[in-house]
Amino acid sequence: MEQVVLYILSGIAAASAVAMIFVRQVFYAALCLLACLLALAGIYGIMHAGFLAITQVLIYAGGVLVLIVFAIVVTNRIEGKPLHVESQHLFIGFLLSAAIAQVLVWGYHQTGFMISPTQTEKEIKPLGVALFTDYAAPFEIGGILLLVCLIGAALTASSFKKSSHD
Amino acid sequence: MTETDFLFYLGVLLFCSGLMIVFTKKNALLILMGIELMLNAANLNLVVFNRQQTGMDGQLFALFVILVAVCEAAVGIAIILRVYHYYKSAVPDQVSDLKEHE
Repeated sequence: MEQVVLYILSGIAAASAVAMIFVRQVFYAALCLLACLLALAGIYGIMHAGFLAITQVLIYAGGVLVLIVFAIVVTNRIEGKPLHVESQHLFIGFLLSAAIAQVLVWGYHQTGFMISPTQTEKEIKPLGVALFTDYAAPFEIGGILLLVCLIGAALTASSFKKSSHD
Repeated sequence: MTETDFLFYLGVLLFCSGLMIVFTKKNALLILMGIELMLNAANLNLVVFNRQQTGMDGQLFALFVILVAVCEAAVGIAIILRVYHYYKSAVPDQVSDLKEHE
């Protein structure tokens, strides 16, 4: 049962990621990205990473996607017509990604990662404990980074011309 | 093909789709989405390989990747909006002059 759900979710993620390449409008690409992120959240849930699944849904599907849709709406308003995207260098892009896929698969088969997965249940509690003991310093630095980024983004998006007149 | 193999190939597919989007699309927002897709492919691998060891390092690393991706998306979209207001275009090829036209 778990296997079937995993394969269905993987199929959704792969199909929506490939569809993003061929879609013509930016908004449809955002919807494809949303489907891909939600399917990945489901895969995290099956992989016993419940906290990451919740974070994925809350932050990516709830935060980043809303920001992207907001940016699409705002940029749509200026131009006054739906955003059509053109592609360039399709063949070179395909060659480049195929080459990198080849290198990745080759590197994966060179390493001895073929162990069967251990079925240990890893749930939220050890992750929280590690976040506040071993990883306390990166956690705090990440908080400061988030604060600085949000202030910087707000300052960048607002117009400075008004403040320079004061 | 084991489950780990299968999920590794899914990660490769997601990463290469993201790379191709970044390389071929002519819209800054779509390029940002491609970068998000590539970061998610890396996250998937971190979570999958975390099952094969004791400890939570992979999941914690994925958590920090999500954190940095959020910062990157916020700043990137702010810059795109700013460029859009000035150039009236989100095509990176058209944004070529650094100075205002006199």
